[in-house]
Amino acid sequence: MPRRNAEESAERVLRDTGYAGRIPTPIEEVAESLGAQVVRERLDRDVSGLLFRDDDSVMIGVNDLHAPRRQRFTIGHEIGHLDMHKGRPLVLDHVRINMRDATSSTATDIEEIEANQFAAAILMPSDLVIREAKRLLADDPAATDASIVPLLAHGFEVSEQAMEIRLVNLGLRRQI
Amino acid sequence: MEPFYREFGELLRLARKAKRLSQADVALGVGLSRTSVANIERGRQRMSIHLLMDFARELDVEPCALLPPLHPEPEVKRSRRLLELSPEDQEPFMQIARRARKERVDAET
Repeated sequence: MPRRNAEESAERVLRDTGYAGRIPTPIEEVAESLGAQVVRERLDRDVSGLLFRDDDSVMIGVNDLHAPRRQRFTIGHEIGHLDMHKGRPLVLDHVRINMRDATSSTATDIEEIEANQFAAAILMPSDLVIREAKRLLADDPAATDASIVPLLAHGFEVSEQAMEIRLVNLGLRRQI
Repeated sequence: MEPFYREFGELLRLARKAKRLSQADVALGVGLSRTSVANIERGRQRMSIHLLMDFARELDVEPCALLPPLHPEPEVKRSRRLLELSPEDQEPFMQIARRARKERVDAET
């Protein structure tokens, strides 16, 4: 249920802001279309981003010390909170030192899992990822589900790890 | 020992269990003693990089599947009011607010 909710919410936001079908997703423009100001600052290393909202403004803060692709994921994550989790004026997202499968096995916070799923869905829309993956596999007979990961990650401007997880979740890559 | 070895060991253990292999099976495949494999899984033993390839081959996974992510998943703190947060957690909000104000002023001038 949570995943479905996040997927549908991300698709709706892309449609409503007029940015559906774009590769890569212009995530900052999406945030601004929703009335959020994206602000970059060199924050404590452990902080990935934050969401601040009051009656007349919404701010998404992003840690400028982090890699650009990580920042895009953070903005997607905060838009997820903004869209799906009403009535949370302040959200501060920290980096957790943990394993690859941390979200599925140990994270109990449904809102965090949803925000991550939303970020994945808005940066890597399922229809576009499937279309591009099929195109890459068709273009090069030597291409495999593993070899296209860096190409897709580059095109969608996400980390290879994020793309890898997305492909597994979309059933385009066997579980590794 | 660095946390890396603990994280690597945990991923190695998960991958091994997913393939329903014992520590002894894997040890035989990569040419180590079972004790070494047990120590590596507990993060108590450093190892050479070529062993990463050997383990990956033995478990039939990509080597990167055994390595922890560079960008871990985020953790969260949230509140209804800034003052409910600890001073340490208030700081990033203040920094962002200051930066936003500065950008507004710069844009106006």
